[in-house]
Amino acid sequence: MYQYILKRVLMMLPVLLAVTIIVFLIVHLIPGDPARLVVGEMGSQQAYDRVRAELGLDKPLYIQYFSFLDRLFHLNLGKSIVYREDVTKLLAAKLPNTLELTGSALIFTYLFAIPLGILAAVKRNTVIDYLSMGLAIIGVSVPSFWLGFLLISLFAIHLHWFPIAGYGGIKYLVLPAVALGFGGAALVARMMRSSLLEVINQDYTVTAKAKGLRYWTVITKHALRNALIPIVTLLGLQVGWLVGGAVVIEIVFLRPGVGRLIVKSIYMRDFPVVQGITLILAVTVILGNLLADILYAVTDPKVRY
Amino acid sequence: MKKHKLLFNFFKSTNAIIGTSIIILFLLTALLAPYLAPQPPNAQSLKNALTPPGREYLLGTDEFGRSILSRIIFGARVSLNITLLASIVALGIGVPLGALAGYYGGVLDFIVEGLVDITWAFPVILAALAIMFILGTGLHSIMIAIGVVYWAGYARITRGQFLALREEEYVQAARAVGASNLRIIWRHLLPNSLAPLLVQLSLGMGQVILLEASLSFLGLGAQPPTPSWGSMLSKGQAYLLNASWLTLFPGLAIMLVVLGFNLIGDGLRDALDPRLSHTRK
Repeated sequence: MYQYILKRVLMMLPVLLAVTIIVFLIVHLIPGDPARLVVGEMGSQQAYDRVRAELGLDKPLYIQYFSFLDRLFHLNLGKSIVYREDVTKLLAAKLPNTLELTGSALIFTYLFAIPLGILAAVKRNTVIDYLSMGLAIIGVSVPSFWLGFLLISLFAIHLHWFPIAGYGGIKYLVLPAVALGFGGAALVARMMRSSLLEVINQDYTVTAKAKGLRYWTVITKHALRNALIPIVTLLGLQVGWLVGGAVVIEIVFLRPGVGRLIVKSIYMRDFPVVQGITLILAVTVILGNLLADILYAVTDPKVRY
Repeated sequence: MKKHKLLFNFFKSTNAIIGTSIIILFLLTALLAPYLAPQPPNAQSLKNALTPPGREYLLGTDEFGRSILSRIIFGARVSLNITLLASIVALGIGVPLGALAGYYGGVLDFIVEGLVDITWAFPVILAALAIMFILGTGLHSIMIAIGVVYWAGYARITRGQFLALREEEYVQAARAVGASNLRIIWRHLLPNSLAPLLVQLSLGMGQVILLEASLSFLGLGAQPPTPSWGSMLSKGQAYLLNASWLTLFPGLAIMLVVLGFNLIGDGLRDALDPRLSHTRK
C-alpha cells in the first residue's frame, strides 16, 4: 500500500513538470507577440525591446523555461498586464473564494448523492427508486449555469430566500454550490445505485445474507465497501469538473473568484494571469487526483502496481 | 450477442425509447431547420423585441426581436454537429490507448496514465480554451478541442476494465490454450468492456453538448450571429428579471438533448449486460 502511494506521488512529479511546460508554452503558442501585448500597439520600439529583454524572449526557449521554473520556485508568477499587479497577489485575493465554492460543492455532491444512490438501490423498483433516479438523470443532463439561473429565479427572485448574486457569508454560497455540485451529485448517485445493485447479487453478499446477518449489516459492512470503489474513482473526476465548472458558476453568480478573473484575462489577453490561474488550478486538480488514487488503494486492496 | 436480440432488449426499455425519440427529433430538427423554423433565425424586428411567448412567437423573442424558437431550431445544428465529431475524436484516441495500457501494463501503462493525468490536470474548460488558443476559434477548433479534452475519460475506463479483466479465469484460460494477445483483446476483453464504454459514450456526448454550451456561454464558442444555445443563455442573463424565456427555452433544449443521450446510454447498458438488467427487475 505505502509503495503504491509512494509510486503515485513520484508519478505526480513528472505530471507537475509537464504542466509547467504546457503552461510555459501558452505564451509562445497563443497568436501574437507577448512583448507587443505588454507594451500595447502604440508602445515605442524602445519599450518593446526593454520588455522583450525583461521577459527573456530574446533567449533560447529552454533558457526561458528554466528561468520560468526559477521564478515559480520563488512564487513569482509575473505581473498582470491589465492590473499592473503581481499575479501571486491577485491569486491570493481570489483563489480562496474559488476554493470555498468548489469545496462546498464537493461536500454537497457526496452528502446528497451517496444516501440517494443507496436509497434507490435498497428500495429498487419502488416509487423512491424511480423518483431519485429520475432526479439523478435530469441532474446529469442540466447545464450548471442554467440550473444557476433557475435557482436564482425561484429562490432569490420569487421566494427571496437567498441573495440573487454576490459574495459574503454562507447565504451567498448555497445556490452557487448547489448549481455547481448538482450534476456531479447526479452522476455519483447513479453510479452508487448501479454499483451497489451489482454487489448485492454477488456470492459473498448472498452468503452473508444466508448466514442470517441483518439486511442493513450486509449492506453497510459487506456490500457498501466494494460498491464504493467506483465512487472513489469518480472523486478525481469531480475535482476537475468542479474547478472547471466554477469558472462558469462564478460568472452566473458574480462571485469574485479566479474563474471570473481568467475569463476576463482571456478577453484582455493578459497572459501572465492566464498562465498563473491555469497553473494553480491544474496543481489543485493534480492534488485532488492524488487523493482519489490514495483513497482508491485504501478501499480496494486488489489494486496492484 | 446477436444484433436483433440486442435491439429487442434495447427497445424493451421505455427510457431507451424516450431517449431515442428525443435524439431522432433533434436530428430531424437539425437537418430540416430551414423548413421547420417559423422565421429566419437572424431576422430582427425591433418593434417585437422581448415579446413573451404567444401566438405569433411561440417561444417569444430576444432583445432584437428575433424568434427564440427559430434560433433554438438552428442552434440544434451547431450542437449536434459538434457532439458527433468531438465524440469520434475522443473515442478514437482514448479506447486504443486505454486498451494498450490496461492489457500490457508496464512502461506503456505508465506513459498513458501520465498523459491521462496531464490531460485531467487541466479542468476541461481551461484545456479546451488552451487548445482553441492554438488552433484559433471556429466550430472546427471547438470540435477538435472538445474531442482532445475528453479522450482521457475513455482511456481511463478502458484501462480500468482491462486491468480488472485481464486476470479473470476465462482470460487466463484463453491464454493457456495459446490465444494471441490481439485475439484476447479483441474477442474477450473489448466485448466485456463495452457496457461501461457505451454508458460513458452516451454520458460523454451529453458532456460534449454541455461543454460547447459553456464555451459559448463564456462568449468563446460559436460567434454571433450564429445561433447557439450557450450564447443564447449568455445574452439572456441580462434579462433574467423581466424576460426569463430568453434563458428558459435554450436551457431546456440543452437539457432535453443531453437527457436523450443519457437515456440511450442507460438502455444500451441494460441491453448489452443482461446480468445488470436482471438486477433491475
